[in-house]
Amino acid sequence: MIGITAYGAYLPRYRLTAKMINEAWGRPGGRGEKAVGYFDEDSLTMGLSAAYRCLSGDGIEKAEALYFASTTSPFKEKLASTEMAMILNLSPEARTLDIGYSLRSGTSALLTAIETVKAGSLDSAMVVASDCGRLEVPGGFNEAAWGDGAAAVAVGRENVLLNLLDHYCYSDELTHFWRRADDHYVKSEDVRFPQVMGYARIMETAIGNILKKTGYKPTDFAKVVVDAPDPRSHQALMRKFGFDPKIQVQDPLLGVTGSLGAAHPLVMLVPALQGVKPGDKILLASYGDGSDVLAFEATDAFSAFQKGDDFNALLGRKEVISSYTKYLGFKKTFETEFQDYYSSISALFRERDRFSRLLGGKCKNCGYITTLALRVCPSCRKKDQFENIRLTRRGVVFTFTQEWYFPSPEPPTTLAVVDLERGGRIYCQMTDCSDPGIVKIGMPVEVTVRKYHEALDLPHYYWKCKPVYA
Amino acid sequence: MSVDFKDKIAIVGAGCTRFAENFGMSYGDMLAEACFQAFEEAGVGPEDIDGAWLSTAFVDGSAMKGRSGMDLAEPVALFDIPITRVSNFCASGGNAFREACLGLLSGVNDVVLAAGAEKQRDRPPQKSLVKMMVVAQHQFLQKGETAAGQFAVYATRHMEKYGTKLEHFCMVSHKNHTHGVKNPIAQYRQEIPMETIVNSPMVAYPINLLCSCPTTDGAAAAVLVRAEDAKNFNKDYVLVKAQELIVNSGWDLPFFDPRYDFSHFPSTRLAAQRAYQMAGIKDPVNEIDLAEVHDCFAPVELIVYEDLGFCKEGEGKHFIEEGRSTAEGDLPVNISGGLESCGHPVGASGIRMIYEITRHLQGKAEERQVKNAKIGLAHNIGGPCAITSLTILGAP
Repeated sequence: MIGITAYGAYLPRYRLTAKMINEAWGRPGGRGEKAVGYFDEDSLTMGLSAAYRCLSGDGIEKAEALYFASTTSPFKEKLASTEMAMILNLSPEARTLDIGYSLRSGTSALLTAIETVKAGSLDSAMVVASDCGRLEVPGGFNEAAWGDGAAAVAVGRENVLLNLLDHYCYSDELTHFWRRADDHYVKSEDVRFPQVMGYARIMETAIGNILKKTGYKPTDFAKVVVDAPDPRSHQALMRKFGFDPKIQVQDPLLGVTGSLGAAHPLVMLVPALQGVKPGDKILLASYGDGSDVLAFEATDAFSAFQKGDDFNALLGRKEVISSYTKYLGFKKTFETEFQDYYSSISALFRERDRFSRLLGGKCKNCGYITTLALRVCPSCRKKDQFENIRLTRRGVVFTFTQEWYFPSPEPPTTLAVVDLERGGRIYCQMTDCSDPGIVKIGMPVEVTVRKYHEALDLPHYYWKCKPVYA
Repeated sequence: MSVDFKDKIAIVGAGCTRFAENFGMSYGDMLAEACFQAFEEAGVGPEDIDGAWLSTAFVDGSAMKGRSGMDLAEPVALFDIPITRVSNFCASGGNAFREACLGLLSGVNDVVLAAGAEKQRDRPPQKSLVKMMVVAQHQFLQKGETAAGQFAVYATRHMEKYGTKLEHFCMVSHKNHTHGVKNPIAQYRQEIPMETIVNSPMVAYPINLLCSCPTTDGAAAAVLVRAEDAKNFNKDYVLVKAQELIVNSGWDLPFFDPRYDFSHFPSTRLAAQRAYQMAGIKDPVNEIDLAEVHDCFAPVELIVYEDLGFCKEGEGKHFIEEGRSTAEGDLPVNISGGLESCGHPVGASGIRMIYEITRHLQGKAEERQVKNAKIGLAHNIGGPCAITSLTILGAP
């Protein structure tokens, strides 16, 4: 049996409502909202957040591959998956691959991972799909429709939760959305033509063909998870096959999170799996330059599977951005105060255990734990006694300050000294905290990876703490 | 073995420029002014100096001036002798003074100069406050923080642990600005109402704008000889009673070291303990007549009251509330107006404090003279509180 062994979705904390966008552009009305990555998030950091929500500790580190799917990778040349694998402390022998260019890339990465395991090359793989900053030009028709989010799915042959029954892939050249190599904003042309001749025609063909191929009837599926560019096209497609909107159809979340690009089908899968029972069949379909359709069956392992943090709780932990202007700042739509940050690629390399992987150094002689790149123990003063240990990503604020003069899209910048739960102390920025008033000594925080700056024109990722919101 | 400084070294000349936005003076111009003031008082010229130490903390804002002993030689015409640049963050000035003392104590030198200068206002203050933390430092560590923030994490912890309030910090600033009115070299010479200080914009919580020192240009200098030679130079000399320099941690380590409590400054505590022992001081509040302590940000002064043993741990708020550190109190602190009023040209500040104490012990501090001043203390803390310099001076 080969299939999905764990899964997790990540949504950024912030939301922008359609009404706020319309108000900014002098237009009436507006319904729904979209998830917006904070100014220090990108597809790589959100992908890491999803990976942590999917698995932890050994579970992540033993993955034999990391496949990263995104249309908004921070890099045009350089694997985001390799940097993520380093941060997640995967073995250097783990296979890394970035798959992009299409909203279909999330499911393509998943299918590739499953087939690689099926071929016997690997026993496990982690698939991360993430998009952040997939934007239409400000004021455009789709501005409210596209959000930021990520999902991670672990694939393997042991403890399989969702067994892949069959799949159907369909490639179709029809220009719906596109970006040229140097374009910042997503482009589109007609609205109706790609809805009718694109989405409707392609998805009817792809879903119709997997039903034909497998012999399943639409009613055989407990859950139908199908990506869509807009709610009406989705409804029409579901009606066409007679999927029951109350029981079978997973809501496409479009007015809730916005379309999350390459991550969207896999993010939709997470709420769809709530309440799934062994034997239930699930249909998963993406849309972009054709479609990937995957048919899964929940295994007996599903009944024992405990998901600690459900999707509704994730959706609930949100905060509406205080203004549209601030949103544009988060997305670097206009130039803000420039700072010429220092960095060194050799220092980044030699200090990556401490500062990229959050591995502590524990003194073999006295037990002192350092989070700095030191050779001599400050406690017992012995040289070269530090061995790497994994630190917890939960901690408590010991002391803090809030910097009002440090350039930031959302001042003040809170800096906190954080004592980690099982030893070690770090000092870093606090993120996802728009209300400086909530920061207190003793407050519990979670440690996460965010982008600090782009010295040397290179994104610099390091640890930040964030409040543990109820 | 520690070297005993007590009564072995004498200050025979001291000089100080105006601490201000000295747009009309270069780094070298300021050094010339401070050094020649000190030379004049000591009755010497540059040709009489046989060893010199130059204190400058940061050189990137002053076209690299101050990076070596050469930058003292050129503007003061101090040639053919050893000159060493000393850089130890806010303790740089005290450190240069210490090295000059050691030159005399070792017998290598007979007439020495300790000079400090910092040119901060050849660029905007915002750049000096933020830029160092961004442009020239580790790509991740302490990123997002400014100089104020480095001290603010102590203030936050002190508030939590001892119930100190933001108003107590503002009282320190208010006192120092009141003192500064009478100091002709201070950058700011006006009394600032408490309400204005309390309501000034936040810089790095809980440190607000008027609890922060300005960015300032300045230079200060002192000529030193061995005590037995002092009368040949200046009858009105002042004796060194003790000098301590303590480095107890690093630049990043304090923030990442689980042993740190952030409610006091270990480097200052240790320096005080050793300096008091050297000077034979058992009851600091009663034996010390005035103190210049590091108030780059007002909370620092309040915490230092405790670390210097002026009051018990956690009682700094009472010490300021009761007015004990005012000009009229039993231990006037920062009678010069402190860094809050004078500004803080980093390399110069430590020697400016020694200049201030010297004038009081000579009875030449004019309007701001502390009556019957016999013993004075100068304190600097810097490099996120891991470095303390402590100098105790006495009238002969």
